[in-house]
Amino acid sequence: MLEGSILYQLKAAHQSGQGSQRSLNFGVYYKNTLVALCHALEDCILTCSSEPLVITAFQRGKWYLEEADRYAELAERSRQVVIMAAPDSGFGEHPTSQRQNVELVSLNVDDPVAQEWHLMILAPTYSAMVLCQELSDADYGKQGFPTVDLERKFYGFWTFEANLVQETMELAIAHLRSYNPTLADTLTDHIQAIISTPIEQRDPLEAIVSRVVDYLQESHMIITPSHHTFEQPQILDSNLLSNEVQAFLRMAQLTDQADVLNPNAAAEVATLVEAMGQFLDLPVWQLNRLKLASLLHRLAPLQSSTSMLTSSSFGRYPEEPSIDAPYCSLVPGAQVLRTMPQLRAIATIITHLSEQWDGSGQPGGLAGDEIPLESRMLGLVAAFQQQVADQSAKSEGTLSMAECLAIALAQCHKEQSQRWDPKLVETLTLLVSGLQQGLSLSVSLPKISAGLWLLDSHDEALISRS
Amino acid sequence: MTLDLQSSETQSSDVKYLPGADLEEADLSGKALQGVNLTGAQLMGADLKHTKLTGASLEGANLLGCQLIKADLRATLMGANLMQADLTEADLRGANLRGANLMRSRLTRATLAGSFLSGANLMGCNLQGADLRGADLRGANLSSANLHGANLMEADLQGAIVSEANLEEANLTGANLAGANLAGANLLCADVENANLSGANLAGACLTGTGLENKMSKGE
Repeated sequence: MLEGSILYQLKAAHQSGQGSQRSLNFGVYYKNTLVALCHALEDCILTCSSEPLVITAFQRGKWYLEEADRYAELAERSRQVVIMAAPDSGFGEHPTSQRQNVELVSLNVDDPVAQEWHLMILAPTYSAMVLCQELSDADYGKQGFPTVDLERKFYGFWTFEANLVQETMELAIAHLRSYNPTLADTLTDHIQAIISTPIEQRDPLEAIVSRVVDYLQESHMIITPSHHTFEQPQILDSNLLSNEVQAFLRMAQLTDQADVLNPNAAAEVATLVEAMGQFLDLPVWQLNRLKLASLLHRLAPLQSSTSMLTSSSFGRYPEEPSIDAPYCSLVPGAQVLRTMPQLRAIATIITHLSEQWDGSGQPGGLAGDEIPLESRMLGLVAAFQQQVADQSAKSEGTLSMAECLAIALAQCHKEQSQRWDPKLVETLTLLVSGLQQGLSLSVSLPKISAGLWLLDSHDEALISRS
Repeated sequence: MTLDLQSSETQSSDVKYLPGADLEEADLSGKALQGVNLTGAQLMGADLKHTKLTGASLEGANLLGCQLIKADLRATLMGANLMQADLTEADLRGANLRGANLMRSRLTRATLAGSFLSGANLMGCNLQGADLRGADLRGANLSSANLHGANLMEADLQGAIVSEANLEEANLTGANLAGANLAGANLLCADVENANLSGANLAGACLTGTGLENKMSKGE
C-alpha cells in the first residue's frame, strides 16, 4: 500500500486497536469488475432522489476522458463533481471539465493518489464508494504486468456505508487542500449541508443492488472463452460473481448496522444455525447454504411480507425452485436475490421464513415438513437470537447471558408445534444447554470479499424437504 | 460368500472388514459405506463420487487419482495416498489425514474444518475456497498450493512449508504461522488479523493489502 494514499490513510485509521473503528478487509478487483461496478454506482446518481457530492480519482486524465461524456450527465444531477487525475492532453478542455460544478484537480505524477481509483458518492439519500489502488509491478509477481487492460488488478474495497464514505471524503479533501484550498473549503461545506439535510427515507437499496448485479452480469458476456484476448477468463468471471454476492452481503450489512440493539444478528444467527446443522448432521453443501441464507435473511424483514393471496391458493412447495412462483414477489428482499440465478435457492429459503409449523403462516401457508427444512431452522434460530438480544437490551445488563438464553428458549418452547417444528426446538434446546455449560461458538463474519465460496455448485439446486 | 461391492444392493451392513481389498477402478459412487474397514486397500482410480465413508478406516489405502467429489470422508486416512485425487467439495471435517500424500490433488471448496493434516504432503494442491478452519497443518508441505479465498481461521500452520503458495484473499485470522516458511507466497489482501507470524519466513512474499506490508518494510 502506498504511504500517503487515501487507502493507506483509511486502513491506518481502522487498524485494530485504533479506537472503536472496525478494521477494514480488502479484496482483489480486476479492472473489468471495477468498470462495471463504478458504472452501476454512478448510474444510480441519475435516479437518486437527492443531489450527491461526487469525488473521484482516475489515475490518469486519459481514463477520465473515456468517461467524460457520461460525467456530463452525472454532473447534471450532482451538487458537485471533483475529478482527481494526473493530467493528460485534453484533460481540462473537454466540455464536461468546463462545467460550473465540475472541478479538476491535476495530481502530481509522484502523488500516491495518482495510483488510486476512487469513486465516492455522498447524498442525503444515497451513498456508495469504491476505493482501490493498483498493484505495483512487483506485486504482479512472476506473471508480470497483464497484457490486456481489463485484466489489470486492483485491491481495496467498496461499500454503501454512509459514515465510511464521509470519513474517506474528508481524507480526500484534506489531501486536495494542498492543490486547491478554496475547493477544499467548498467541499467541506457541501458535506456539512448533506449530513444535516433531514431525510425521510434513503433511496431503496434493492434497486441499487439490482443495478450493480445487472451490470456485473453483463460483463460476463465479454469474457466468454471465445474471446481469446483474455488470458484468464475463469478468474475474471469469478471476480465478477464474487462481487455480485458482495453486493447482497453489503446490503445486509447495512440492515445490521441500522439495528442498534442487535447489530450482530446476521453473524450470530449464521453461527447458531451452523451449529444446529452440525447437530442434525446435515451435509456440508446444506450447511453452506444455510450460512449464506443466514447472512442475507434480514434483507426480507418478516413483518413486511404481507400476503394478498389466501393460504389455500398454494399449499405445495414447488419441486423446482428455479420456477419463479408468483408468491415470491411478495417478499421484496427475497425477490432481489433472484436477480442472481445462483441465489435462487437462498431466495426460496428466505421467502418461507415466516411460515408456521401449523400452516397458519405466510406467504405459502405451508405446514409441517412442507416448509423447507432450511426455512424452518433459520426462522427458529433468527427468532431465538432476536429474543436473546431483546432480553439482553431490556435488562440493561442485569441478566446474565445464560438467563437471556433461558428466557428466549422458553419463548420458543411456548410456540412449538404452533409456530415452530418441535423436533427443531428440541435440537435448539440441546444446543442452548451446551452453550450454558460452556460450549463456545466463535462468532465471526466471513470475509465479504470471499463470499463466493458459500455458493452452491449447480447440481444441488434443490432445497431439502426432509 | 463372494461379495460384490459394486452391486446396487451392497450397503455398509454387508461390508465391515475388507482390509487390503483390491478395488482398483471400482465404481462405488453414491454407496453408503460407513464404518467400513479398508485399511491398506487398493482403490487406485476408483469412482467414489458422493460415497459415504463416514467413520471408515482408509489408513494407508491407495486412492491415487480417485474420484471423491462430494464424498463424505469424515474418516481415518492416515498415511493414505491421495495423489492427484479429485476431492472437490468433499466433506473431510475432522478427518485424520496425518502424513497423507495429497500432492497435486484437487480440494476446491472441500471442507477440512478441524481436520488433522500434520506432516501431510499438499504440494501443488488446489485448495481454492476450501474450509480449513481450525485444521492442524503443523509441518505440512503446502508449497505451490493454491489457497485462493481459503478459510484458514485459527488453523495451526506451525513450521509448515507454504512457500510460493497462493493465499490471495485467504482468511488467516488467528492462524498460527510461527516458524512457517512463506517465502515467495502471495498474500495479496489476505486477512492476517491476530495471526502469529513470529519467526515466519516472509522473504519475497507479497503482503500488499494485508496491512503488514508497511510494517515489514520498516522492520517493525
